[in-house]
Amino acid sequence: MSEKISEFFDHQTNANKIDSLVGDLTKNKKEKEAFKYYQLISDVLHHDHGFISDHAVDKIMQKIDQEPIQFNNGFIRPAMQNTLTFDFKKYALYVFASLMLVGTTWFIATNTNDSASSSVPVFLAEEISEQLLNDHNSTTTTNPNFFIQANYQADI
Amino acid sequence: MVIRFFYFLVFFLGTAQVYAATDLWSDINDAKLATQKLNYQGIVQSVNEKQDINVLKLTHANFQNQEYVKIEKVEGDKAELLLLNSDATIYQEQDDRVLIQKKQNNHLFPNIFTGDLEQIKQNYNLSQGSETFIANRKAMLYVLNPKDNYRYFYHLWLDVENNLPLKLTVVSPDKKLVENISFAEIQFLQSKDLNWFRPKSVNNKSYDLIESSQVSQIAPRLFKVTKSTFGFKEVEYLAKRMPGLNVQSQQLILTDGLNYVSIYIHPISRNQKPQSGQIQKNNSNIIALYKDGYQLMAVGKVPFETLEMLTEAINF
Repeated sequence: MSEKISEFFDHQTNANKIDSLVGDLTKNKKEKEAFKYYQLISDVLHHDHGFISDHAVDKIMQKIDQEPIQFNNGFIRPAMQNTLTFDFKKYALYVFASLMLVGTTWFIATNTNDSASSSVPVFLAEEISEQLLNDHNSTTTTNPNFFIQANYQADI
Repeated sequence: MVIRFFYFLVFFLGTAQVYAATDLWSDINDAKLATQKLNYQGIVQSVNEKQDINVLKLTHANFQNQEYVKIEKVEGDKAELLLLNSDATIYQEQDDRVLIQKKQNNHLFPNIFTGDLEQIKQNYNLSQGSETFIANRKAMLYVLNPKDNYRYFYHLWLDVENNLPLKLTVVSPDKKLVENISFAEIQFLQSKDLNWFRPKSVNNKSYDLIESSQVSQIAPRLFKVTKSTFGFKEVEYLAKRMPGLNVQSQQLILTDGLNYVSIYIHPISRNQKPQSGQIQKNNSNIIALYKDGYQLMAVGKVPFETLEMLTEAINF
């Protein structure tokens, strides 16, 4: 019954069930009292509490704050009215996505060194190619005319 | 009977062809010996890509199994080169001073067959052309045809009398002249006199000795050659600092028996931009690429494709 009342204040009760709920409340005095409490909690949560004292509001909010917090990442969902089931598919998807995120981060970190910004090649410079050619010819040429030049050397 | 004659004819022609090819290669071997053993003096001319003709005077003598070579520039800046076996000293006049530099080389024309003849056989087919006259000497044309697309054609004219190479041209598959060196004049020396083997330039002049680069060969290699190098074999490995690059570079020199390729390798530091691309310069091809944090640059008178394949064989 309490759940029905709670659903009502959470606007989750459809029109057909409202009549049934009102009927039950009129018959059962205890449930009628419970309805009042839920009404009060709903007003406090929706800041619609002009008719009650601030002290009472503070006490109610304190009680709500003391309720244990449950983190539900969407893996636990109600299967039936009073039971919860663990959604393994969602959990596996979450774990897989997390591993992918960690893996991608690791791959980028390991394959991108500090010189990443400078590793974009630029076109082979004319002066570099000249020096390479001179150095290559200084030891390998068959043409004496190249070899007789004394103007180039590789230095340490 | 006809079939037997046919088989005999096939066998005879096949044997004759193999014998002829073997005989041609023995001519190449004789050419190798002739460049080392004979004493000769001549004018050598080479034509560069701009069709400029450079003229040098070359003297070669073999004395007590030591090779002495002197090469002098005939025109332009005065320069001379004294080569004892593979140790070269260059004397180059600049104003009132003389620059002196030491280098290493043992394959200057006409001594082009310094490598392994078997390696050349693996990479080239040899054929014979027709006779002609080079430097007033009767010469026979030999053509070294590459067995694949990774190298160029070598045309060689050998002296009919003693097999000394008188002319060399290197031609690309698209008929472009890559190298052209030949004797314009030549005479064979009988004298054992070695008085000519001294520099003229240093007389009464101050000189600057360009310190030879202290190339270190003990630096650990940064690379491994993990794939086929298409008939090219390593002949030398050097570690040196390249002036323009300002980095410690490693040079791997490869040869296919006739041609040489250098691959330069150095790591790319944080503030350096790697080079990439390909360029042709003085009939040589040069490529640069960035691989696994290293800069690779290859140089040689070979097709770009060869340089690419050789750099692909380098891994870290």
